[in-house]
Amino acid sequence: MTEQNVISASHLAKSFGAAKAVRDVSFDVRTGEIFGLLGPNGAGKTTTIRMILDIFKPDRGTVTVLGGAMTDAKKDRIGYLPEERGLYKDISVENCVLYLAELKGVPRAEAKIRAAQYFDQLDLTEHKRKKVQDLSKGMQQKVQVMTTLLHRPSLIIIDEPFSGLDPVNTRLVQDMLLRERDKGTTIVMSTHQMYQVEEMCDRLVLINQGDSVLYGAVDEIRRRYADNAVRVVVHGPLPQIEGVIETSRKGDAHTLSLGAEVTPQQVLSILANTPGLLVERFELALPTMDDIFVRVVGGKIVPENGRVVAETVAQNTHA
Amino acid sequence: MRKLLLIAWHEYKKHVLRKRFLGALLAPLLFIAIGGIIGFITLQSFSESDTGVVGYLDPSNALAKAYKPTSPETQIEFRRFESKAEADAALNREQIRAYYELAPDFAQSGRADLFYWKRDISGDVRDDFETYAQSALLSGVNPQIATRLAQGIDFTFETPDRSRAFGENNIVGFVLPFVFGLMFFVALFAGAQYLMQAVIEEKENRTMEVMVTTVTPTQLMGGKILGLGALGLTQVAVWLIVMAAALAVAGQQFSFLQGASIAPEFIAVALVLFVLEYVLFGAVMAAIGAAVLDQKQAQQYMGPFVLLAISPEFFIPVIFLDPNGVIATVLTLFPFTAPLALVFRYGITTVPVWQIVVAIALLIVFAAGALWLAGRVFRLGMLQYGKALAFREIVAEVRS
Repeated sequence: MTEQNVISASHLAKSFGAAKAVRDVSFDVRTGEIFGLLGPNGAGKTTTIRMILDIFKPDRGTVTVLGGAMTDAKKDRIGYLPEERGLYKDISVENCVLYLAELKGVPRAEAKIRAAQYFDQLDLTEHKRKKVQDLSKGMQQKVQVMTTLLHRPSLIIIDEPFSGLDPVNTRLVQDMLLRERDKGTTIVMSTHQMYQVEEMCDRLVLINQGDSVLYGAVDEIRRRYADNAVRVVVHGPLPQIEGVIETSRKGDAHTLSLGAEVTPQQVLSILANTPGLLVERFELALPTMDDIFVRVVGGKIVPENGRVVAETVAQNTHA
Repeated sequence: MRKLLLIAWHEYKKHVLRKRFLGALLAPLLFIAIGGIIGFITLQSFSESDTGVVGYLDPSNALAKAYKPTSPETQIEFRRFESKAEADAALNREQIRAYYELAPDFAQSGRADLFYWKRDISGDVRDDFETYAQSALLSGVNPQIATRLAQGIDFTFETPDRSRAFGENNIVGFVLPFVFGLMFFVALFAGAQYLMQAVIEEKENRTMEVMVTTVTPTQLMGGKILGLGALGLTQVAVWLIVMAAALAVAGQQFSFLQGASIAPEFIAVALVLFVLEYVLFGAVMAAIGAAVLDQKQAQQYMGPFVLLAISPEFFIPVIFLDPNGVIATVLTLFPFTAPLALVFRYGITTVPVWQIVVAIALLIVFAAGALWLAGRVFRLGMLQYGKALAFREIVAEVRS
């Protein structure tokens, strides 16, 4: 744990009767990063979040938030979007948003000004006088996101923030979250959407069956689990290259699996020197987070001597 | 405290504008209004029948010395007719409302027949004629005694232990605390039920998880109890204002309603008891709300508590016969039944001060205990979706 850690969870464990929801989960979340909390259904993500938020006390282990134990005052500095969504259905959207903002310590007049801006950004202005129950699921989700951000928290914890949103609104919310991150807000995001993890998260922890099994910077993890392969887009016939075990094609891109005796640099050199062949793109074929998730959770990667199999001290990669 | 008050105001505002609350508020008022209109119409029809002339045939000259005492109730004139034909003719021409035909032995038998054409005369007019006849029969008696006999007996209602008595004209003072208490009781249950519904709603619409990461369970429950308690008091206040206004208006027409009042100390004690009772029931209802799956299941669990609270009603005869007896005292001291038992007893006896003090003290202890218990159940049940809490889970939580 360092001073720049917004959350430090150390060996958290929580059981409900005989069911062990969380066995041993450890990770740190650093100031100003987007941290992914990943795992299959029932892995223990929500219980971990609830322990961070002091809804549940851990049976074992410790957790510190914003520099210490959770206090009532700290609750106002946290924005939480839970997995079980909930808004007051029978009051107007505006009243619902203002009430929750006031509870977070924002004066009503100020809350109105901020709400107007968010309504505008989220295309909700014409719906603000409607009852929440009269909105579509996607619109309700945008209102929920709004209530999470309106009090300008320094830590945001969001569970599946894009659930129920169409691609346009997904992009809208994604951009809002990235802007919050750029302003220095720390975001913990639990999601099943692995492409969003790749796009948005700086670091992550993967929880499986109550244990943290993968932890570190997203890019570093992808490199760590990379096979010796390259992906190329070329104009012209692809030559036979010694040492290439397998070639597959998806669209314009060819993925070449390399034997141990050949390096990507050698392959690039061969392609560049092939007459009549134009190399448009050449990159290491890193596995997607989706691949890694499936491989780790599906048991293809066995944790070594413990639960955390990948850990990194890489610095935040965002600008 | 700020968050608690915000929650209280939010709950109050949300519920006070709901159709359900307005219905509950206005239904009894509508009932009173309809009753008032019917009463007014009836009164009008009586006052119409209390004027005019009523005739009589007196073959034995028994009412020769009759005189009509001054009566504020009627402005009727009694006119003697010498023959039935004459009386019938006056009736047909609607010169008289009705006529009595006294029996020849009226002085001994008191028999008389009443003839009317369209509508019977009112009870007040009959009473007046009876007094008129009595004045003749008592003509030889001392006028003071005659008047006394003619006016009848002035009853006083007295409690069996003689600790309290109510004159015939003060019967309202006897009933009013009863009505007042029942109104409080209805409001108390309405408030407690709103509280339970609010907790269930918050669980059902999943706002609970956001709320518990924003405020403490104590602020959440305290705010709800305060806001919805204020809602109940609003209900009582509106009813009381309307009742006072209705009594003031009706008092101009009905003399027995004039000067009807409730002792301020009774109001103060009742207010304290009912507020404490509300906190007790509110906490129980909130705990039920947090523990159950939906409204339907909640109704089943709240049934026994409601039954317990209204149980003094089953003991009304016992309380009336022995208002300071063991049962009445136990019901007054037992926190769940204290307010209603006290209201019932207040109308018929003087409740000893020590009993009021002990009842309040016990209610404070029970209310505090219920709040603590509700807090535990609330923490346990608030995030449990899709299934109700098992009793053993609650016991385990309390033991921990």
